[in-house]
Amino acid sequence: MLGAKQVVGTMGKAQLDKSMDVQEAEEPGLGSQLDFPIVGIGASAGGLEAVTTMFQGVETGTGMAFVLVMHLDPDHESMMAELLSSKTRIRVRQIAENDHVEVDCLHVIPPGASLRIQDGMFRLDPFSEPRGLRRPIDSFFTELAKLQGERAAAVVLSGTGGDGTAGMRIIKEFGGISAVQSPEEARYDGMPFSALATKMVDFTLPASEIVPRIRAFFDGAFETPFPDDDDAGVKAMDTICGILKSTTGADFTGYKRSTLLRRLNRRLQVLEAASIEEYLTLLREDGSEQRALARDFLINVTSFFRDREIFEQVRQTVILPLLRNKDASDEVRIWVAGCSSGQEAYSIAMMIDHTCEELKKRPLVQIFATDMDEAMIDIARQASYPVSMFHELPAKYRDAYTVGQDEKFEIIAKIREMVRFSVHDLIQDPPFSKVDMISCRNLMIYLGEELQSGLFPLMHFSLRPGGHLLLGTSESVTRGDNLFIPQDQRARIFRRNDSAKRPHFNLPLGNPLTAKKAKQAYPGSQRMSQEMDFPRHQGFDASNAAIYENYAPPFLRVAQDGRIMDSSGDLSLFMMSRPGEERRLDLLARDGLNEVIGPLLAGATNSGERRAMKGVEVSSPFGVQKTDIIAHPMKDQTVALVFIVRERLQPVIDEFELRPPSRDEQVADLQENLQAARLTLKGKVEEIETANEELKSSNEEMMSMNEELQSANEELTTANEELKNKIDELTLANADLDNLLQSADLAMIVLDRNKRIRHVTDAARKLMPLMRSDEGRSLAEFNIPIGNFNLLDEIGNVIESGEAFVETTEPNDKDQSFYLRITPYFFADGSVEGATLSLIDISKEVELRHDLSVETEKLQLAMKAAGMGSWDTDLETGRMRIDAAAAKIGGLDKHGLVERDAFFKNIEAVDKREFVKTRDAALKKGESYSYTAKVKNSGVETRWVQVHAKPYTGADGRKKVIGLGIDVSELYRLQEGLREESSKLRLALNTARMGVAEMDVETRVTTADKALAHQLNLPSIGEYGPEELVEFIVAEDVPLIDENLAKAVEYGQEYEFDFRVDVPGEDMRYLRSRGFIFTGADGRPKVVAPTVDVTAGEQQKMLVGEMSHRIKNLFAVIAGLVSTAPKDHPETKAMAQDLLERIVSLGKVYDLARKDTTAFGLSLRDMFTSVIGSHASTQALSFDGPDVFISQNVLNTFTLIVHELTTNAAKYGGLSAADGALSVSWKKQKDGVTQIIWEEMVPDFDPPESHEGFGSLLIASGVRQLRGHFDRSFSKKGVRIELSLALSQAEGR
Amino acid sequence: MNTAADNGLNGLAILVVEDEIFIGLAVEQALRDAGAETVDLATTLSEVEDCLAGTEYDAVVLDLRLPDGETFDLGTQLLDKHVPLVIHSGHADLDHSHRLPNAVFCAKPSTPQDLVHAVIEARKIAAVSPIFHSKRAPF
Repeated sequence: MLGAKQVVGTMGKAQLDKSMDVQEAEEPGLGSQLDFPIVGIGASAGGLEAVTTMFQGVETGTGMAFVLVMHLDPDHESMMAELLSSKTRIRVRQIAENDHVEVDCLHVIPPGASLRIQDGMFRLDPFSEPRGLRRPIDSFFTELAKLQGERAAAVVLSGTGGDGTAGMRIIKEFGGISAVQSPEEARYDGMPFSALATKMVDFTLPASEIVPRIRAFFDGAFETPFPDDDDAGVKAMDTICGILKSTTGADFTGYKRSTLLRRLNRRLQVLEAASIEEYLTLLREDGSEQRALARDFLINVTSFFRDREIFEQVRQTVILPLLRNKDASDEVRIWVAGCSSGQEAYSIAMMIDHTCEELKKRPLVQIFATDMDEAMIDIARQASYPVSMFHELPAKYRDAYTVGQDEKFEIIAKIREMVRFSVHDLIQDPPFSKVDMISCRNLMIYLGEELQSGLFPLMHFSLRPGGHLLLGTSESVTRGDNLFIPQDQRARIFRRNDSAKRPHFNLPLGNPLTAKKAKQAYPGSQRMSQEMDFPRHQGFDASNAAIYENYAPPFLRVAQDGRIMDSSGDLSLFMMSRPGEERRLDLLARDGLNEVIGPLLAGATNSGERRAMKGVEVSSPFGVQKTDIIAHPMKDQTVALVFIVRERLQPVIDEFELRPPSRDEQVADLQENLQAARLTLKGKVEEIETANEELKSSNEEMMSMNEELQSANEELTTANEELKNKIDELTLANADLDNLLQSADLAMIVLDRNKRIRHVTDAARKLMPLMRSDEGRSLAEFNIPIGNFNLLDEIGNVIESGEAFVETTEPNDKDQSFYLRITPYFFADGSVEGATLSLIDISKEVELRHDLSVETEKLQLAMKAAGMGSWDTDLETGRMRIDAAAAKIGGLDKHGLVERDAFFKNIEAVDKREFVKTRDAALKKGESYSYTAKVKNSGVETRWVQVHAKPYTGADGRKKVIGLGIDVSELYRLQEGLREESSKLRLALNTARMGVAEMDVETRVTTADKALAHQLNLPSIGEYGPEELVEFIVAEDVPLIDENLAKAVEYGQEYEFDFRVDVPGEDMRYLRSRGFIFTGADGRPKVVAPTVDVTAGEQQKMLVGEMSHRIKNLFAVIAGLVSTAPKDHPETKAMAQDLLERIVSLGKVYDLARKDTTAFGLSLRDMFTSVIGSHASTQALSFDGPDVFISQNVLNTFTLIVHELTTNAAKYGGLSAADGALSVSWKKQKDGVTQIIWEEMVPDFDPPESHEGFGSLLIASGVRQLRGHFDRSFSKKGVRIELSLALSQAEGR
Repeated sequence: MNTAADNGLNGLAILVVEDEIFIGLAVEQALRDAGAETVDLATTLSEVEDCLAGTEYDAVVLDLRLPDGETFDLGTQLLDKHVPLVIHSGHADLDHSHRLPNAVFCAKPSTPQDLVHAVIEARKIAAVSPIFHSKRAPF
């Protein structure tokens, strides 16, 4: 390893204390504690994206460990590790105390801790700085640099502010490498730009290319083309220093070779140069590479009390005298130019403070510490340094001015307040003024000669009269310049030469045109270019001056403010000489010139062109001189005034008297006034300058505060970014949870500690009267319809105790039952922060359970009522469990567990062989089976038991049979009885040859028995459709069947009708069917119709009918003969009419008497209705009397009597007039005699003369034949007839 | 003679189907007495066909039983042609009424008035009744 002389690990403060004196001025340790590279990554706002990009394509096997340091909100858990782990193949873990540093692992800093590595393990320390001032990246990079030296890399990614820049610088200083995300790519380019501004960045790359590049670097880290050979090495280094000196002006020859070698080596590796020759070629040609190398070489090695003996010298020579002369109200102003990371400024502050203590004086001390490197200023402002620097402090200052922290120490506030840091470019920015001392050590050596010489007037300007300038050990003031007088040459302490003629200087120093251009081209902090300025001469040297003095026309060089800068030649004719150091042109110019010179100078300056004036007459004590004046503007903003004498001097002695004395006095007065005004103005200007100075300081403070705010902002941005990601993940998790709850259809109510509803799932809203809008309200406001216990109290208990509560609730008024679980709601820290109610609707289960118990109850009741016994047989053990009823059936004394054989000993199957066969077959198939068994118990009558059994597998997995036994003895006997009755009935039916039809009303299918089948000539007993049934029934009788069936079905009427069956080749059969509807055993309506063969009776009836028909025909023939007989005489005609009517009446009555309905004979009422009815039209008729039936033997006679009475009524009586009336009433008398009252009402009745015609004779003889009594009387109203006749057979006989 | 029957059948042509000649003559007499202009008498089904082929009758008086068969089918045909029909029979009772629903039944023996009334009645029914066929029930 090149230049590695020692290994400094993480030494404790105590060790450093001991070793500090010896170790001083040694190089930082270059060894590494862990033998693999560690890549420190600093990121802030936008960092997540950058880190993601950086690691997206990274595969394992990098051989490196990665440590990510971000600005994280200390009050929040960081999700960074989780967020990243899904994005890369390598392991990602959030660092915990004592975690080992592992290869191929991205270690992520946890929030709120400062990170360091010790013994290969991470250590987390609380932040010592207040929020906003923390620089965790810098802090870790510093640790990493010291720990790993060359095996460290710093990567700066997106972020605002400048954290990481200083740390990166330290890593570089310790030999590590640095990489920065391209600012164009970074979401926030603040941190990348800040890092780039140091010009120490090895690689500027898109995030995705950083890891491969670093890996490539470390893979080839320790093989460089730099020659190992000492001589060649020295030679190469000399060449390089030569190139740098000639191009950048910086001379590194005096630098420690080891440092230069190490840094050069780094450069070679970064560039991946193949050989040193190749690099040298590049260095010679490429200006940027020259600058880059110079910058690498220049990495500041500032320290506290650098060159300690010089400090003591300064104290003695400068500080002590300075302070002695100051009072408490006075101000001491010190300017530390090029302060770098602040050590020098703090050293001076400590020294001054210490001296103040000694002198017991306390003037206001202000130390302005400036540097052009903003990053360094940032570090300096923190005033916090690694303990490795602790030894640089003199022992007496250590405890007084530092506050120790574990790995750092901090400068106390008192000292910090003395120092004002600001970014300041010595070359461009206006200098501080009225400064007592300027410390500008080791700065000049980097600057070109021109810049150097420009700096001294500037410093001369800045210093108060008598102020001091402190330079580096290798620096000195420009030779030949008398601005500063060496006070202590060895310590490089110089005093301001107050009487020296300070040359004019313009800002920026150096060539103004080049400077301006440079500034425009590089608006950033691109200052290095100025080092490129070629040194050139300025002003006159002595020999030139002599020539100008003697041979050139006299001339002046005037600055813009009117001061005379230089002069040449004899100017006494044009200028006055005054005592002191007055150099103002307007005060020195003689009359004549004074008047014209102002406009001339202004014209030349403003136009930038040469101006001239001819024949100006200048008055002097020597006379009036006529001269041409040329004003020539110079590049440095000065104007040269050249006087060309035209004529000889004209002495003015003659005119001396003539001149009015008053004019001179006036001018003198005016000039005096002007002088006084100028002095006042000068004072004001100085005052303003002071105020300006203070404003600048305030501004610096503001900038510091701004910096702090920016840090805080950065932390917030990071936190915000994390939160955004967290919200995304939460949204996802929430959606997952929602989906889970929805898909599980879980009814859940989440409550907070105060029983306020936090969340209600959809399922819960369906069950409970809750809405989404109820979230946030207290559960106590709702009537939750569950159970009869105090829900709120139970929730309270759960929240208090943290133990879950489970309950099955009673059915509510909607018959809902729930399985309720109240579980405590735990927060991540284990505290109970509420409760979760989950409800499962078990209403159906509860209902089922309830129904089951009811069913069981019913079953038991039914079994009890039916005397049903049950048992359970274990087929494997052959034992069975029987209940009391079963015991009784089996004739056993006790119930419970019995042997199977014992139970069956009294039971014998009716058909044992059949039973065994059925049982075994059923058991084999696992089906149920039944059998009837006979139980014979001694002393008890034989009983019949019907057994139903079913095999099943018990809950314990054993084969079992469950059996039910019913005592069916009663049924058995009933069946026997029924069978007997049925046989008897069948016998009766057979005997009566009665067939039975049974018709299903719905299907119209008729079941015929054997007798019916025979009757209807059907082939066999069985079922017949309507068509088949009537096949042999006479077609015209078929409608009768339909009619009567309809009557039975629709009105439930019983019916009876006769129909005929015509079997070809046989006699006509006459059948009588009598039917009625009933509900069959199968619940279907049926019509049952017993049918008998009435052929015999029918034939007789037909015979009678035929006889009757013939008799009637006979009547009709007789009537026809009568009506068609020739009737010559009207009398004969009337007689024939009467006769005809009598015959017809007899015929009608005969017909009536023949009807079936007249089994008892013809009713009297029917007879009257028939005979009288045919003669009546509009007349009122009434018949009133009990049922009297007319005997057959008196029918003809009685009919003729009634016919005669009716004929009379029609001719003369009640039926003769339209409004007449006839009423007949009768009552029964004894011995079959009926008394009949016949009354005819005739309006305006004229009783007829009594005449004894054939009619009267017929009535009289008829009454006599019937041994009756007839009485007729006439009145005005009509006719009344009383008639007593023996119409019926005597009753009781 | 009942004068109420006069002119009851004025100008009508009536067919009397009766195998018993004395009854047939009496019926013819009764109808003529009631004003019928033409009264034809048929004693067999074949004579009926001859008569129906030759004349369009205003009413038919029909005995149910003839020597060469029963007259139900003839009655049905006549009713289908809206010919007023009177059944004049010793069998004429309700048992047969359903087979010839629009016929008027006049039982033998009957008076001339009965018969004339029956013819007038039958003509009324034929004039108002829709065609009605004896149909078998859907059973």
